[in-house]
Amino acid sequence: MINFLDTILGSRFWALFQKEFAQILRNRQLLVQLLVPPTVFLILFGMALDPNIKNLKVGITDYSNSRISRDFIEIFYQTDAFVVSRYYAKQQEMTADLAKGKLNVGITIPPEFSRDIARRRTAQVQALFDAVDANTATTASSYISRLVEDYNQRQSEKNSFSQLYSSSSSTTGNFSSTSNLSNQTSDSTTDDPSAQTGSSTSNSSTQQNNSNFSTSGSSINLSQLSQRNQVELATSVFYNPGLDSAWFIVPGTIGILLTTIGSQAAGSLLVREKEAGTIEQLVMTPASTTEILLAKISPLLILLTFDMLVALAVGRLVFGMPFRGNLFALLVIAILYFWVGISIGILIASYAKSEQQSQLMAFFVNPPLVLLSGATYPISSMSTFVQWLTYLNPLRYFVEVCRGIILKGVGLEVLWSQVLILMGFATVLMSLSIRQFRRQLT
Amino acid sequence: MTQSLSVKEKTHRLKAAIICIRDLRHQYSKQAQAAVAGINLDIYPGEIFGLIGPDGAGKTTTFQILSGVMPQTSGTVEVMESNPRDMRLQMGYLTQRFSLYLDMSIWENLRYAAGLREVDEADFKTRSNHFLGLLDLARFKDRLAGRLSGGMKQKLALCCTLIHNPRIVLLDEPTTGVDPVSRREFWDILAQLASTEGITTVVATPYLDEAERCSRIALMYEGKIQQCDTPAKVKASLGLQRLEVYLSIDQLDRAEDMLKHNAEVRESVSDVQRFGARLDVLTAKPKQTANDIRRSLEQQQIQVRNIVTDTPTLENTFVARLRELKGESSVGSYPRISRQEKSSGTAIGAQNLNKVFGNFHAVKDINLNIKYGEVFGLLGANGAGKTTTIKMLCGLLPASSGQVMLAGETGQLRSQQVRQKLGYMSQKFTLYDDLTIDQNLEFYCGVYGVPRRYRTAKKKWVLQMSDLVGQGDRLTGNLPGGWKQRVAFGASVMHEPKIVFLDEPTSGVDPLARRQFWRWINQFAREGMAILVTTHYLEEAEQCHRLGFMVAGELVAQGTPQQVKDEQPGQLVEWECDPLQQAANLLKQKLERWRVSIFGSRLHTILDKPVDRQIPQVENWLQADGIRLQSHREIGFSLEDVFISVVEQARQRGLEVPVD
Repeated sequence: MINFLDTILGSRFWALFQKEFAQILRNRQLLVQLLVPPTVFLILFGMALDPNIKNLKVGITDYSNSRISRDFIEIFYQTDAFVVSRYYAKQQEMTADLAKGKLNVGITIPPEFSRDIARRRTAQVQALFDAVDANTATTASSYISRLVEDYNQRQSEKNSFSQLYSSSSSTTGNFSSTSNLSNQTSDSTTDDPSAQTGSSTSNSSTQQNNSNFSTSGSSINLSQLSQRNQVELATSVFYNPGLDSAWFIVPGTIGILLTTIGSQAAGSLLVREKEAGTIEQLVMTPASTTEILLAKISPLLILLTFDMLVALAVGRLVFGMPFRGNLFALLVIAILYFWVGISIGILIASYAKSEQQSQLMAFFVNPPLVLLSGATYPISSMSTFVQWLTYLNPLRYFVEVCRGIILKGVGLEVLWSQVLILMGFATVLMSLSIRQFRRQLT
Repeated sequence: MTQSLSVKEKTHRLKAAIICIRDLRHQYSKQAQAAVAGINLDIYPGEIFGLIGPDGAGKTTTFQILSGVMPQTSGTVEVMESNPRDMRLQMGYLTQRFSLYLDMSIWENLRYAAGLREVDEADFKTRSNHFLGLLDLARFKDRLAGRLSGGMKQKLALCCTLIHNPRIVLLDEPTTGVDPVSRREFWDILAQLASTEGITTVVATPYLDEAERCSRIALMYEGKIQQCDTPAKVKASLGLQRLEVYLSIDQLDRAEDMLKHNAEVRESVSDVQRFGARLDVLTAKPKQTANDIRRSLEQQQIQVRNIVTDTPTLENTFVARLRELKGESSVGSYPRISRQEKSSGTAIGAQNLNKVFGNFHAVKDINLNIKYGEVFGLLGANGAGKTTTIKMLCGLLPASSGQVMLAGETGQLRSQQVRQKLGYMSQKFTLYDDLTIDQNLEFYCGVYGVPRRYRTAKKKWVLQMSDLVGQGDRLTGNLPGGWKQRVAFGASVMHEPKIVFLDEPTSGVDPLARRQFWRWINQFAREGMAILVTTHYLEEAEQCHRLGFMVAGELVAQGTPQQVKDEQPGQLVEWECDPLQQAANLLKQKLERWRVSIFGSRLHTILDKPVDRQIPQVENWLQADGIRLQSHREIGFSLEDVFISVVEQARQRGLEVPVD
C-alpha cells in the first residue's frame, strides 16, 4: 500500500498535476472566474430568461354571471400568476383600463357561457392582452390556455362532454392581443408541433371588438388542438408541473457554462504557459505532450465538476428545481462532456499566441455553440436549416442529457444515443486538439 | 562612512546635491527583513553614480523609490529639492525588464515614450534624430523592437528614457544579458551623456568592470550602504595588493581550497578569489606571499605557471568585502542517487547544422563535438545565433538541415529516454513565477522522476547553493533576478543529468554567486557531465575546456581558450591613464575601433607586432591631448579581448545585424 502510494505520489504525472493545481490555486483571478460567474450567471439567466410572470392583473367582465362562470373564474385564483383586480360590468370599461395599462389581461365571459357549458357545447371566452410587452402577453396567454385546459380536463372528468375553449382576439390601439397556446410545452425533449401551430398572433389597428368572426373556424381548430394538447400537456405538466420556465433554463445554462468556462479556462491555461515562455522548459522534461495536457486538464475537470454541483445546488435552492435522475450518471456524462469543452479550448490555444487572442477566439466560437444548442431557446422554433445545424453541436446533446436526467429522471436507457454521440465528439476533438497542440510545440 | 562624507564635501563643495536621501527605509509587508534599511546618500549633478551589491541587496527597491514609482516606508528622498513623484518629468527610469513594446518599431516606441511625457513635435524631431544618431540606431528606425538584438534593445530603451530630456536617468542593470562589446558601447554613451549633456546617472550593475567607470559607487548589502566613494578610493581602502596566480585550470579548485585553508599562508593571505583561469590572491605583503604560495602549492604537486603583482580590481574589492560581511557559507555537497558512470564519446554533436527562418539564415553550417566531462562555452554577441543553436542541439527546434547527435541518438532527439538525461536552463524562463521555490523544486523533482525519498536532500541542496535556506515558501516571481537564476540552475541539475545546456546561467548574478556556480559546473564536468554553456562574462569562459565563437550564425573560432587566444594577431598593451574615457575616444579615432577597449579602469589596445614603434606613437597622441599617462605594459590576451576584437571586426564587415 505504502509502495503503491509512493509510486503514485512519486510519479511524473502527479508532479505535473500538483504544479497545475498549485498554479490554478495561486491564480485567484481564474479561480474567481471559474466559480463566481457561473453562479451569478445561472441566477441571472434563470431570472432574466424566466418568462414566468407573477401577479398579472386580470380584469373580468362576466356577462354570464352564473355559478358556472364563477366556477370558471376560480381558475385565476389558483395560481400566483394572476391577480383578479377588478370585475367590470361593461367590456368597454375593461378595455379602457387595459389601454391605460391598469390591467394586463381582460377576460370577457359571454352571456351564453353557462348555457353552452350546461349543454356541453363549445363555450367561448374572450381574453384580451396588453401586448405592449409581447413577452408578458405571450406568457400570460399560454398560462391562460393552460388553465383553461386544466379546467377542461376537470370538466371532462365531471362530464365527458362539456368543454370550454378559449378564444382570443385583438383589441385596439397600443395594445394588441396575443393568443398563444402552449408555448411552454416545448420543455419536454420531444418536439411539440403545437408550439408552432397553436399560436396565432394578430395585430389589428382597426376598431373591432368581440371579433368572434374568426372563432367559429378557429374554435374547431382549437378544439382539436386542445384535445391533442390535453394529451401532450399531461406529459409536459408532469415534468414541470409548475410550468416553471427556470427549470427549462437552468439545465440549459449548466450546459452553456460548462462549455464556455471549460474552453476559455483550458485555452488561457495553455496559452499562459506559452506566453510565459516556460513551455520550452516543460517540453524539455521527459514528460510527454499527452501527460502535460492531461495534467493541465485534470484540475479543470475537478473545478468544472464543482461548478456543476454548484449549478445544481443553485437550481435547487433558488429555483426549486427538482433532481429526478441519477446524480452519478449525470456527473459521469458531464465529465465526458467537459472533455469536449476543454478540447475546444486546447484547439484554440494551439492557434493563439497570447491569452488575449485565445479569449477573443473563444468569444467567436462559443456564442454559436450556445445559440444553436436549444439551451435557452427551443430548437423546435428554429428554422429547419438551423435545426439541422444543431445536430453538429455537442452542446445540444448535453443539454438534452441534462434535461432528461434532471427533470425527467430518465437514465442511459433513454439517453444512450446522446451519450454515444458525445463520446464521439470527445474522442474526435480530443485527438484533434492533442495533435494540433503537439504539432505547434515543435 | 564619516570619512567618505568629508571627502565628498571637498569634491562637491560648489554643487548642491541633485538627489538627497536621508535615512531611507523600506519594508515589504511579507518579508521579515527590511529591503532598504536606512540609507543616506547625496548624488551630485553630472555624476555617474553606481549602486553595486549582491542579489537582493535592495538596489531595485531604492530605484523604485527614487523614481517615485513606490512610496517608501520612512525617511526622506528629495530629487532636485522636491518629492520624486513630482519630479518624474525630470527623470528617466529604465527598469530591469525590457520596457519596450516588441511589436512596435524603434520609431514608434520612441514616439510613444515621447507622447507619454508630452514632448512637443519639434523637440521630438530634434531629440530623436540626435539620440538615434548617437546610439547608432538611426539606420533601423523602422525595425520592430522585437527583432533587435539584446544590446540594441537596451540602447533603444535608453533612448526612450532620454527622449523627454531628463536631468537624471535611473538605470537598473541596463546591461544584464548584453554582450561585452555592446556593454562597452552602452557605457561610452553614458559617459558622453554625462560629459556633454550634464545628465546625472544612477546605475546598478552586476558587472564590476563597468562600475569602475562610475564617478562614485556605493556598495549595498542587506539594505544598507556599506561603503560609498570613488572606485579608486574603494579599491585603495582594502590596503592590499593583488597577486595573479596562473595555474592549470583543472587544479584551480584544489589550489583555491588549499590557499584558503593552509595554515602556512593563511596569515598573509587576506582572500583568494578565482578569476577566470587564474587565482587572485589579496595580500598586504605581495613579495613574501608570492614565495609562500609558490612553495606551498608546489608541495602539493600543483604547478604554478606564473605570479604577477598588481593592484586589486573593483571586483576583487567587492568579493573581499562581501566575504567579510557575509562569511563563507557552506554549500553542502551535491547529493547523488546513482554514481555517475563515466561515459565516453560524443555527448553533443552537430554536423553542418543550419537554421533558416524565412529568408534569414540564423545558423550556418555549425560543426560541434562535445564530449562527456567537457565544459564547452558558446560565445558570441547578442543575436549571433547561440540560443537558436542550443535549441537545435537539445531538440527543441528542428534544424533546417544538418544532423544533431545527442546522448548517442541521432534521429529521436525528443524521446523520453534522451530527455531524462538532459538538463536545460533556458535564458529566462526556467521557473514558474506563480509557484513558490519549494513548489518549483518539487515539480522538477517529480517531473524528472527523482524518487521521493531523495527529494528532501535534493531540494535542500538547491536552497543551500542558492543561499535561500528557510525561504523555500517565497514566491519565485518576487525573487531578485540573481537569486532566481541560482534556483533555476539548481532545478536544472537536480535529476543528475548527463548533458546540461545552460543558456546564460550567470546573467545578472552577483560575482560571489557566479564563482560558486562555476565551482559546481567544474565539479559536474569532473564527474562526467557534458556541459554546454553560454555566457557574457568572458572571464568565466576562461574556465571552459573548449569554446566556440559565434558571429552572425557562424562558428568563427573553436578550440581551447589558449588556442583561441593564440590565433589572435597582434600584441595586447594595457594602459593606465587619466581621464580614461577621453583616451579611449581619442585612440578609437586614431587606431581602428576594434583595437581599443576599456577594461575596468584600464585601456586595452591591440597593436601590431612589433610594438616598439607603435607604443611611443600612442604615448604621443595621448600626451598631445593632455591625458596623463601612468603606465603601460604588454599583456597576454584575455578571452574578453579576443571576443571584442572578433565581434568588432565582424561588425565592421556589417555582419552584426541580421538582415531581414
